[in-house]
Amino acid sequence: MSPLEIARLALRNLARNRRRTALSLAVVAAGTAALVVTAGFVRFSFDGLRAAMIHGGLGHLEIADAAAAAARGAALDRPASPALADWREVRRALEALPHVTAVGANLHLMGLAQSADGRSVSFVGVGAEPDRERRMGFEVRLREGSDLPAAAPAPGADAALLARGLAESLGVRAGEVVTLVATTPEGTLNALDVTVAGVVTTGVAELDTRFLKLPLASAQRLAQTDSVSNLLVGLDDTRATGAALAAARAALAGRAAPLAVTPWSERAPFYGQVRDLYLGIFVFLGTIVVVLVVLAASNTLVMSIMERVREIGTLRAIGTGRGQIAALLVAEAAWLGALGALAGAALGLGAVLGLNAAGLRMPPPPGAVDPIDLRLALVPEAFAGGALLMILVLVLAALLPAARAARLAIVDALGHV
Amino acid sequence: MTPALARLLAASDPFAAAPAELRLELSFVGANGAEVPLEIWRRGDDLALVRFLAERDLGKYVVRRGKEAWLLAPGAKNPVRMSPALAPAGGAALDELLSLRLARDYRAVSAEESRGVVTFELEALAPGVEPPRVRWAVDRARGLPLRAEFRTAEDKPRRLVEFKSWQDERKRVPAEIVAKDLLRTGSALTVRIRALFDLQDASAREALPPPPAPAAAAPAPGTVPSPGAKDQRPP
Amino acid sequence: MSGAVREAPVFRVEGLTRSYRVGDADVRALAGVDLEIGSGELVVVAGPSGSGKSTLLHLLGALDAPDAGRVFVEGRDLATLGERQRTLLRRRRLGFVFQAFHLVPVLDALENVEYPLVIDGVPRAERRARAAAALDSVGLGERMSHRPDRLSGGERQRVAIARALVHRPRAVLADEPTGNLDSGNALRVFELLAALGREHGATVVVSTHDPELVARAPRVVTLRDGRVARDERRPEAVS
Repeated sequence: MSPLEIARLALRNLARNRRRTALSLAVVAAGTAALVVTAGFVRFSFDGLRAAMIHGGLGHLEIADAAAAAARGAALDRPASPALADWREVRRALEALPHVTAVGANLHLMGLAQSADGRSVSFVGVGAEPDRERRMGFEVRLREGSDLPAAAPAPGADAALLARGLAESLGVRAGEVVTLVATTPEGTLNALDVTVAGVVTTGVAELDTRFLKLPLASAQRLAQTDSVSNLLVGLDDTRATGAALAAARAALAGRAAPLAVTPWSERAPFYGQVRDLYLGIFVFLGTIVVVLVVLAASNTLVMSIMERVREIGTLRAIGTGRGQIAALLVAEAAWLGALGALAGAALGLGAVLGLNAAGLRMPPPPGAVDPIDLRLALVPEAFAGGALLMILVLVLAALLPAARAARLAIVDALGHV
Repeated sequence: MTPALARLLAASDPFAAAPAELRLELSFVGANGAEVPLEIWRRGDDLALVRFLAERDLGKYVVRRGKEAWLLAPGAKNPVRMSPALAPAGGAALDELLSLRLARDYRAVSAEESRGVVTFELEALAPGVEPPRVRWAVDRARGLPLRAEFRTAEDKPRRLVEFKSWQDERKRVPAEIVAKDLLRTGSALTVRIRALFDLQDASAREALPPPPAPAAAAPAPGTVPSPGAKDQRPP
Repeated sequence: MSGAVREAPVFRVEGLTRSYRVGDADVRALAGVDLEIGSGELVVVAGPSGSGKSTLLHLLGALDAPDAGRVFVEGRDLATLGERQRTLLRRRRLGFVFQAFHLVPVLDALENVEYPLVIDGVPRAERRARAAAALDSVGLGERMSHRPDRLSGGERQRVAIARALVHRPRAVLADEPTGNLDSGNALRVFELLAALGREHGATVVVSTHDPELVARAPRVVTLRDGRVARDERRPEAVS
């Protein structure tokens, strides 16, 4: 009996008890759809988190003085000292590399912001280049006022974007002036008046209470330095990060003061943790789905075999081999898996498209500020993997009952009522 | 405590012989190793003006009146009130040293001698005197202080000042001190004193360089919170 | 071995004994049966119910194994055959007809008849033609695409006969093939079996307790209490 004939006969047998087959198919389909939708959600979360991190200020690569980077450690919120003096040359070299959209210089600051009425709040600030950050796809989430101008401000025309918590603590709005006090690299203090251009959110509640951003020129004026803390490299494709990392390291090798080139993923240990967490949840859910499907499927498989003991006896009597019987029963299960997975994939596709079309919003994740538009991803691997998993699971569930059916004593089976 | 030790303590007070009105030329060695030249104008313990002399610091001043201090910077229209947290460790240490009157404000709780060094445990006589406690180490043979550990009222070490060298041992004017902040990062700041001028001494006044040209962004009259600060300017 | 000189009988059994355990009691279905059935013979195994007819057919058809004694099919001792060889023996050399027809409900008449050829790997076109011819020969050429549930009892058994003969077996074992049929259909089925067996040169062994069929058999083996009570040859009684 050729596999094709076994498959045909198996398909016929599924039509025997349509209600039960439909029920099994529904279980498998629901399981597959659950996997597909969950995978879509997990991918959506990963992608969203990654994009938020890269475009929220991490960039794809960071270039910093190796010694300063080592001193700073993995902490992101501790400012790096302005240790890059020849950053313009470094930038020129980096901006010539493929995939690089722009290289933005950052100067990190810490200090005290004071409002005209004397309120003072400590801040962490970053001096940045708005024109380059725009080219790198960095997001500025304005809540009020306007973004920083692209051109470096003249002395006396300094402006800043204040995170909303900081603006609130200072009691200032766009257009008002705050005085920033910061320590220079020499250890003395300096102060600078900046006009609040706009109020922004970083997307992270904790950071919103103390973050501010100002043009690099203003930050350098305040810190009395020409150096910068680091350079951030933006790429046109996140998948090119590895290649760009190697290219940047090669381009910067051999400098007297070695530079550390760090990919975004290493600067965001949080991303790895969240990824692991989500994958864990996904595996856990997948296990539950598999267990449910196995339970439901093996039950119906056993029932359908029990009903056919006499027929199996007949088939054995007229010369059907044990292997052929087992193959037939396993093929029935495989059909159930395949058809159910197909239906489930369609169901999952519909669910993903439907949920996306419904325009649902997710509440802000822990520590974040804004709700997120739910945009489930269509993950081809999940469709293929889910279908294969279902077929595999059904086949495995069928193996034992099929083997038992194949080993029935023929005479007993024929006499079975 | 023996009278000899009491005399030793009283005589080890740095700047004790400093005039009421004075000008100090000094520099900090900055966190990045760069020298930060500045001068301090001072009248009594209550009024002080710090003028930063480096080109990059042009137009920057710190004014102190009593316990309050303001930063004047060319980039900021108004003086910025400086909380103690903002005060740079070196300047505060120096200010504290200049204001310190061991014989007047403190009593010795104990004194121990070891290898020619006498260590006094001092306690402020009145509340509000800063610092409330001092551990004061003096070289007995030379009568000069070696180390001062400023402590909080709870007797926690706050700042360590080491006297590295002396410019005028008789008047106890140090040439180099190292101040270490013990509460925060523990970073050390070196202060080098080049000269001390008595502003009431005409001869000293004649030795002065021409008065600094006020920078464009120097504080406008009226915005300076302490009118006394202006009086500190040389005539 | 001696096949060239004298063909071995299709079935030969020696001292065949088989017991079943029913509840607490051992029921002896066969208690020492010796029998030989030659090529092309039509044999009716008769006897009251419980006399061991079905058991004998099961043992002849390699569906079951005896407690004692031996079964030779075409000279081969079944005890020496493995599971796979017994399966192949049933598939290629034997045909089965059961009392309850035992057609596959999801297959139509043609497909049911085709099935033995399917499991033996006969190419599709050939097996379709052979199955159709077999159905024709049992008079069901018009009902090929009917599923068993749309056929009468007699028609179903004729499909079963076609299925038992389509692969041109050496012998057909029919266990009470008429037990579920009325007398008219029973006779027709029996005669069909006899005629087709003759046509194919196949040995046909039919178990029955229907006296009408017994009367038409050229050889009747009567079982009683698990033994051969009588083995009667009546060459004149050809149905």
